[in-house]
Amino acid sequence: MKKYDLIIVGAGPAGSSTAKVASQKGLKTIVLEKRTVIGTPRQCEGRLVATTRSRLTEDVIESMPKRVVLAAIRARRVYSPSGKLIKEISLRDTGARLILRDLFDLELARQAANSGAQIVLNTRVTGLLKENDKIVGVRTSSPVLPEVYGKLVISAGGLAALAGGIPKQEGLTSQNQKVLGGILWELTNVKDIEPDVIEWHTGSFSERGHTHFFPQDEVSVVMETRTVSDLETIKRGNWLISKKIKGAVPLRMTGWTTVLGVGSGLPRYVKDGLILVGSAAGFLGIESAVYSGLQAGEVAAEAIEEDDVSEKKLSKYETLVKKLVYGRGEILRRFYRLSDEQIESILSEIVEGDELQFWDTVPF
Amino acid sequence: MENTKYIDIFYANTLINLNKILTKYEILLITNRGFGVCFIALSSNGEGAGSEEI
Repeated sequence: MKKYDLIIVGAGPAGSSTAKVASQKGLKTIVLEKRTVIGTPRQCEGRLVATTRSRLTEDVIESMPKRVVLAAIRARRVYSPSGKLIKEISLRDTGARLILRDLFDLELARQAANSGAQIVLNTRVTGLLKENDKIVGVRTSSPVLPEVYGKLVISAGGLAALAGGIPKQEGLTSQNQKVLGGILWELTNVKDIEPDVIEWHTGSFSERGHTHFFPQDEVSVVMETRTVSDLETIKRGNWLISKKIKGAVPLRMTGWTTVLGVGSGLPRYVKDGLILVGSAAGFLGIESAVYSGLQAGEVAAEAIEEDDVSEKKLSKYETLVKKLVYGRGEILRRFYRLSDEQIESILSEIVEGDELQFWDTVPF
Repeated sequence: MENTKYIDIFYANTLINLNKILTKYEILLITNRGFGVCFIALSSNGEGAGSEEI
């Protein structure tokens, strides 16, 4: 029976970052990915926001081929519910980027593989394998590889895992969390946009309370809605968006998910033989996924080397990722409930030179 | 939160203890404002934190 040092469930940014570090440190690492193509379908709009106190964003970008990065984000335009431009916030100095998320995931996985990690596609993990209550591996739905044994398991299965995968099965999730889903549209033939400016349209025109335009080029954007029919509702309810997307043609429709109410974090992020990373741990955003993955890789290497994968040993990881629990989910949840009048009042308080935390920069 | 009418703005040096702050105030936007972190919140009575130390 083949046994690995590290079994990573999921080849997203968190899983691949863990795999890259762990493999570089000499761990025999296997990544199990349920999809047949890594990064597909695109998991989010691809906004790599700046980390304000580390070089993480720059380091990640520098490791990527140029084709992954669409643009450095020059500015965020904030529009009121009535379609008025409230503020244009300069993001020139933040280092925030628009990336192609599917290519980004693929490149991170390539880096992990180039570092020595084994990646197996089309393999859905269904649960943990235990012997005398001790985690010894994972069970999969693949007839080719029904059981995989290892010393330590990393749950990197994204929000789906948080909603019903290993974190949920192991009782590590919080009661306050609500998983919210919707549609990401890639639209072309969009008018009056700029390729390096994010537009933030707020208001109750949308079931979601607001939507973004993330430009893909001079005439294409990715925007989020809660439902398929919401796109038409938004067109009817907001004259400005309607003007911009009236003649637009959809090129891509994919699902998006986020978790609201994770401000206070999960009760635990590790247990004997198990570490949660990325969205599976409730950390929101690509930067948090990469950061938690890198830390998990380091901690895993140390734990395996010392032959100690106990909760106590792995708790070092919890100390390292504590800074990722900063209330973004809670802020988003609150914003969704605002009336148009309240949104107008709140937005009018933004002044020249402000950098919006959580939307454009993250505090780690 | 439907009846809240007032905007409450206060400042801190850093985002430390944000979770604690979130449980106390209806914060909706947080911005880096050069000299510190600015919290923009809704308040039901206009008697919010102001510039009170938190």
